[in-house]
Amino acid sequence: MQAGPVSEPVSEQPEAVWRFGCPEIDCLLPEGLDPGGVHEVKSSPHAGGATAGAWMAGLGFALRLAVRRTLMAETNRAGTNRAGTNKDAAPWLLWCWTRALASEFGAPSALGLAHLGLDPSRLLIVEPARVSDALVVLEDGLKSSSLALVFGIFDDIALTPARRLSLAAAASRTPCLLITHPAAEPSAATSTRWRVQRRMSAPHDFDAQAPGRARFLVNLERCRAKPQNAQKHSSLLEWCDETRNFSLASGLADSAPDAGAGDGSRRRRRSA
Amino acid sequence: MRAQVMGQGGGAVPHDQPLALVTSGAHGLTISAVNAFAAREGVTIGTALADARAALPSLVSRPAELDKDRLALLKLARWAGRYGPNRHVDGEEGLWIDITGVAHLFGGEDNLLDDLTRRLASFGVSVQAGLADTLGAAHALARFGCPGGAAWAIAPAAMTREAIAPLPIDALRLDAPPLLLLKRLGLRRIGQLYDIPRDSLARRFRSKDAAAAVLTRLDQALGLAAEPRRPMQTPPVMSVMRCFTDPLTSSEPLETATAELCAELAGVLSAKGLGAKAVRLALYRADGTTAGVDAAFSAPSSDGPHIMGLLQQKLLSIDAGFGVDLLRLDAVRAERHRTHQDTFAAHATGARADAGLLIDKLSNRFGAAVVSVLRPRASHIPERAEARVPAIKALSKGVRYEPPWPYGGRPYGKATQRPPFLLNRPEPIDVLAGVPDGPPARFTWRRVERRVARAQGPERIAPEWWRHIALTDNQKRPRPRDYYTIEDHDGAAYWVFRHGLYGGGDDDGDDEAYGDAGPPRWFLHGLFA
Repeated sequence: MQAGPVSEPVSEQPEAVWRFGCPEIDCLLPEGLDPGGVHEVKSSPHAGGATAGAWMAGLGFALRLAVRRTLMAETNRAGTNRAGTNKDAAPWLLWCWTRALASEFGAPSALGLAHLGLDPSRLLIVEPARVSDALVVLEDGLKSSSLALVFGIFDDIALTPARRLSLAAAASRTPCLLITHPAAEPSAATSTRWRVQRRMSAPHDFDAQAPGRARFLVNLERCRAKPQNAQKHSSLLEWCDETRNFSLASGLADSAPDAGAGDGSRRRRRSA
Repeated sequence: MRAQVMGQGGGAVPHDQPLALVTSGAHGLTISAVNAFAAREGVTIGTALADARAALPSLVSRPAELDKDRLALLKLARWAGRYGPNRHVDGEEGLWIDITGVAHLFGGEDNLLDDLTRRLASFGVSVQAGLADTLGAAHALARFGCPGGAAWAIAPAAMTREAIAPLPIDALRLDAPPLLLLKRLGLRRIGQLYDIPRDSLARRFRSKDAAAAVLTRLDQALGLAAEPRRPMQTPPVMSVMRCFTDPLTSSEPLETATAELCAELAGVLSAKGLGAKAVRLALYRADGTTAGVDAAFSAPSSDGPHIMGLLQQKLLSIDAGFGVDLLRLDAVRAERHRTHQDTFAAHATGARADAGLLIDKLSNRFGAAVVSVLRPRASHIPERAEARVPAIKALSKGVRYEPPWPYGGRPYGKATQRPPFLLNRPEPIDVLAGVPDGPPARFTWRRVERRVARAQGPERIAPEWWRHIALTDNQKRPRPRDYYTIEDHDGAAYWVFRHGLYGGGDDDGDDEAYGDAGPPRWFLHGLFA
C-alpha cells in the first residue's frame, strides 16, 4: 500500500464526454457535445407564435443537457480526486434571462430542478433588466471559467454577440446553452443547433391516465464539427429521470401499453 | 470648526452691500444671519428685520433656506473626510473632524488648519476653525478664540485648560438660563470657574439639572468627561489615500491611481491576515464636491486586481469635474481571510476558478438583488419552500450551505415530481372538469384553451395550521390545495391546483357552504419543462 499522493500523468485519465446516453444520437456527434462551444436550442415555431409550451420544450431540453453535463463533470471529478475528497466543489451553473422573460415564466424552482437532477443550491440566477446586460452577464460568466455551464435565454441574438459568446466559451472551455425564440432567425455562430418539439409523454408505467417520461422530437439542424450529420432526421427521444439519460422512444413500445390500457381508459383518444 | 456660507445661490448680492438672511418667527421676520458689511454697520443676529431696516435702510434681506443650509453643511462634512475619516455636522453651523493621528500627513497642525481654511475660503465659505484636545474646547476656540482676523486657533496639546481660560463663558455650549445666572454672578470667563469648588458652584443654581449641565460642559471642554460623537460613516478598518498636486481630470490617471491604491490596501490587509468585505473609494474634487464608489464582496478579499475590477466598472460613471485632488480607499468592513489550499490535481486539470469572483463582479455591476441563488426554507407550501437570496449575501455568511437539497436527497427528488418553473404568483384559469373534484378536462390559460390529454393527481397540500390557529373568525382562512399534473395534446405539461374543496367546508369541518371564500377556484402554478 502506498500512502500519500500518487504521481501519475493527468492526461492519461480519459475525460468523460458530454453525450446523450443514447447511441442513435451520439453517433451523430462522435466527440460528444463540444464543452467549449455555444449550443442553440430552439423549439419548432408554432402557428400561434411562441407559447409557453414551446418555450418550455426548449428550456426542458436544455436543462436535461445540463444534467448530462453535470453528470460528466461528476465523473471527471471522481476520476481526479479519488473517492471524492473535495466534496463541496460541485460546479456552479449560471441561469441568465431578462426580467421580462422571468416575469412570463416565473422563477426556476428548486424542487423541480432537483427532480430533474440538478443541484438547486448551485444555480446562480441573474435577471438583468436589459438584453445587452444579459449578454454582458453571459460573457463574464463564460470568461470567469468558474462555471460548469451557462444558460442564456433570449428572444433573439445577433451574430456579433453570439460570436463573442462562442469565442469566450472556447477560451474557457465552458459550454453555453442558448435558448432562443422559436420564430427568431437562427444564429450562425453556434457549434450546434437543436430544433426541439415536445411530444406527448410516454405512457406511465403504472397509471394509464398519468403523464409519463418526457418526450422530445429532436433534430440536429446545425453541426459545425460534422456538417454532414446535420439535418438528417428527427428522432423521438425519451428522458428517464431515474437513469438521467436520453433513449430513443420506439413507436412500438409506445403503442403496446396504450392499447392494453385502452380498455378501461376514459381518455385514450389522442391526436398526436 | 465653524463655517458660514453666505451669498451662495441667493442671487447676486454684491459684497459691498449689507445683507441679512431672515426667518419668520413669532414676532415677525427676524434676522438669522448677516454678512460682514452688515455686521460692521451694527446689524446683529436676532433683531427684528423692521428694527434693523429703521437703522440701516439699505439693508438687503433674503429668506433663509435652512434645509438647503443643512444639505450644504452635510456636503461640506462629506468633503471634510479628507482631513480625517471621523467627522460630522456639529449643530446648524459647524463641523467637527477628529484629526487624531492625521496632522503629520499635512505637515503639522498649523499646516492642516491653514490648508483647511484656505480651501474653504476658496469655495466662498467664511470659516473659523479651532483645534484642541477636546471637542468642547475646539468648539469654544472656533467661535470665540480666533484672534482678530485669524481663521483658526489652536490649543497646544495638554494646554487646553490655559487656552480656553480667557474665553467668555458663552463658549461653553450652555442654555440661556444658566448662562444668565453665571453672568449675574460675575463669572464671565471660563477660567473663573476653575477655582470655584464644584459643590459651591452647584449650590448657586436652583435646579440640579442646570448645575449638572454647567459642570458637564466644563468637564467636557477640559477633557474630564468623555463626549463620544457618532461620525458620519462608520470608521473604516483600514484606509489608504493619495494626494495629487495637479488635480486629475481624465480617467486613465484616475484608474492608474485607483489600481495602485487597491494594491496598497490589499497589501496592508493581507499583512494583517484580513480581507475586505466592503470597500469605498472616495474622490475629493478640487471644487469641494465629493463622489464615492462602493463595492462589496461575497468572501473576504485581499486581492488587489479583484478589488480594482469591481471599482473600475463604476469608476467610469464618475465625472471628475474640475479634477480630483485626493483619492481615499477605505476597507469599510474586513474579516479574517479564509485561506484554502488548492490540491495539486486541481491545478493540473485546470479546475474551475472561484465562482465567488464572478458573483462579486456581477452583483456589484448589476445590483445585489439581480444575482440570486435558491435556498431552502422550512415550509411545505411550494412557493414558500424556497427563497431567492442575493448571492452575495448567501455566500458571505461564512457558513456554507451544504447540499443536498433537504427534500430530495441524492439522487435528487425521487419522491415528488415538481415543475422546474413556478410562476411568480399562481394565475387563475377557467376549468371544465369531468367531475367536480376530478382533474380538469380542458382549461383556459392566458386566453388559450387547452385540452387535457393526461392528468395525475390530486396531491393535496394543506395550509400550515400553525399559521391560522391564531386567526379570528372574521379573518380569511387559507384553504387546502389539490394539485394536478396535467398534460395537453402538444405535450406541454402544467401544474395546476384547485383552491378549496368541493362538498362543504374546508379542512376545519366548517359546514357553511364555502364560507366567505366562495366555491373552489382553479389556478395554474407551475410549468413543466
